[in-house]
Amino acid sequence: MNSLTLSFSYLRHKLLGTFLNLITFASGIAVIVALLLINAQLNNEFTKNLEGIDLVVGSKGSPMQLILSSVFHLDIPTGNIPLEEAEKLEHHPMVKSAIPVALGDNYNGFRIVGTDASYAEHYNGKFAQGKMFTQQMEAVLGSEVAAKYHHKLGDQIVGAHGLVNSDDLHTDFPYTIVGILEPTNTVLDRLVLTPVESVWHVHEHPDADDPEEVSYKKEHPGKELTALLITYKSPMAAATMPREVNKSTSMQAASPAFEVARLTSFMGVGADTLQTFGWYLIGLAGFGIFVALYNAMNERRYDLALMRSFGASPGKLFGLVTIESLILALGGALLGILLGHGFVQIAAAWLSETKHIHITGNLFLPEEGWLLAASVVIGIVAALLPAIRVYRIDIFKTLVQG
Amino acid sequence: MFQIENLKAGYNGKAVVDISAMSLNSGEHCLILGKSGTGKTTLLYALAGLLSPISGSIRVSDQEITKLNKSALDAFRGKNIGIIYQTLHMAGALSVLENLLLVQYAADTAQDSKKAEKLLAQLGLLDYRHRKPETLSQGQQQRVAIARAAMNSPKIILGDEPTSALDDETCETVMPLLLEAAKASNASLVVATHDARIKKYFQKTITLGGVQ
Repeated sequence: MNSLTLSFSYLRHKLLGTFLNLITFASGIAVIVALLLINAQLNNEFTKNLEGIDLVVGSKGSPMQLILSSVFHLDIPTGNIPLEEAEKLEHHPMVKSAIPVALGDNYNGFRIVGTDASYAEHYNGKFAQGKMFTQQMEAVLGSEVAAKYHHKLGDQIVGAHGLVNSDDLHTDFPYTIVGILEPTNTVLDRLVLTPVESVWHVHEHPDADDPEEVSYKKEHPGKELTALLITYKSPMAAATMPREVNKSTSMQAASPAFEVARLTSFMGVGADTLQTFGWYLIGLAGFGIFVALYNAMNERRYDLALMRSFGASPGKLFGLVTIESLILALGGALLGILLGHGFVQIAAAWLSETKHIHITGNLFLPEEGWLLAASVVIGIVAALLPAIRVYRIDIFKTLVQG
Repeated sequence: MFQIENLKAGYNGKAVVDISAMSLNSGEHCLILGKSGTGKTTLLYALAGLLSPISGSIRVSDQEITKLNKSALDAFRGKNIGIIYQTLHMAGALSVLENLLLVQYAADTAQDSKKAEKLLAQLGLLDYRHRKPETLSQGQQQRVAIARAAMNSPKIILGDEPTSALDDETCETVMPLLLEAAKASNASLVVATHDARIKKYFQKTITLGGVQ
């Protein structure tokens, strides 16, 4: 028997209360851990996919939708832009490079992106097998697409119309796989790349069953792109170029950095609320531990006085109370960290299945160390008042006079 | 075993006990009798060092306990005095065996579960050692309290009404066990009671009449 086993005996004795305190404390920690993990990884995912893209030019509409659709491949596009106008921008003196993006079809939910070789280069895509496409209707697969369907070079795949999985297959226009990329941990892993010409070729003849598509084709007879991903020659371009595009062309220019900052500020409100809630839970649990200890000390004043009468020093009992509180706080914190990671891991499976957003619960942040340290502080503070009462216990009054 | 001189003890400065001289030799047992309010309990806990006397001297095992500071007194009591409380005060979260070991944990002496088991066996409680005290009968709990008081091989065992809650039959079983436990650790037994049934077990009796 030592102070530790003795503390455990008392915690076991009040199992239900102990459990309640552990769960409340763990819930608070879990909420904060999950938020930290998701936040850190989403920010990382955003920055990695944005790197080097200074401006996105696409059809008029919501700038955020333009960024989400053409950079992160999450939203649907705002529309198309005429090829001639896009080509003019490519040769603009302030533009270092412009990557074309033509969307329209998907392969089992993975987007088929009509572009050129620079797209893969931009994300440092290296070939695991094969090479970059050179011909119309050749395709290069991102690592995740290839892995999911166990594709190898020479396989033929058929795209479906639209950007989500559908039955509207372009069976007459199969793609031939000529290259498979290594994982890059960017959006590239979840794309099928093909020359822009393939997209044009597939959509040259509008589907006669779809009147909307027929009439669109009549109004827009020329070749089109969905967006251009632009890198400036110098940062100075940021001051004039977006305004120039928005004013003098039918196109819209959106700054990805600005839109992402706006997006995270929206999400930030929710995250802040949740985080406050998490701390509130932790505070509540800390108070719960305090109340539980205070009551326990009251109920247990006979036991404590008894130990004093057996010769235990007040310091020993002070330590006993503090250890009990620390077991609760640290146990709750560890359980919470476990729960938080577990929750993120489950959410990650769901997100990667449905939203193609890749996060993991198997990542540990330095902030979690601070959470543990904060828990120790909470444990000590919660024990302080009950421990002081124990310190001052009057043995004779407690044991004899009751 | 103890010597008392000019002892005045009580609560809130008011003396309940006033004894000019009293003593007990090593190995002797003694019964403190008296009606309620005559200061039996006060005298007992003054001997235990749990109640500081108003004035006078108490020597227990040649140690002047009124001169010890608080923590030295706690340590002295832990090693030399075993106490059986009137309300038995079992630690409910702990097993019977752990209740005995608690004494040694509190006194910072080596924990000897063999000894605890031996004591429990002598008192017929070995089978109950892993049970919680609350699941035991009053008489069984009384025996646990006896075992616990003997746990640290004290020089003196103080009993506060150890038999008054027991029926005649249990009383007759418990008293010999208490004397045996005292004998086994070579301790003097001092019992404060108004229970006349146990008079026959003691050679020496002190009857308190209270402060006149």
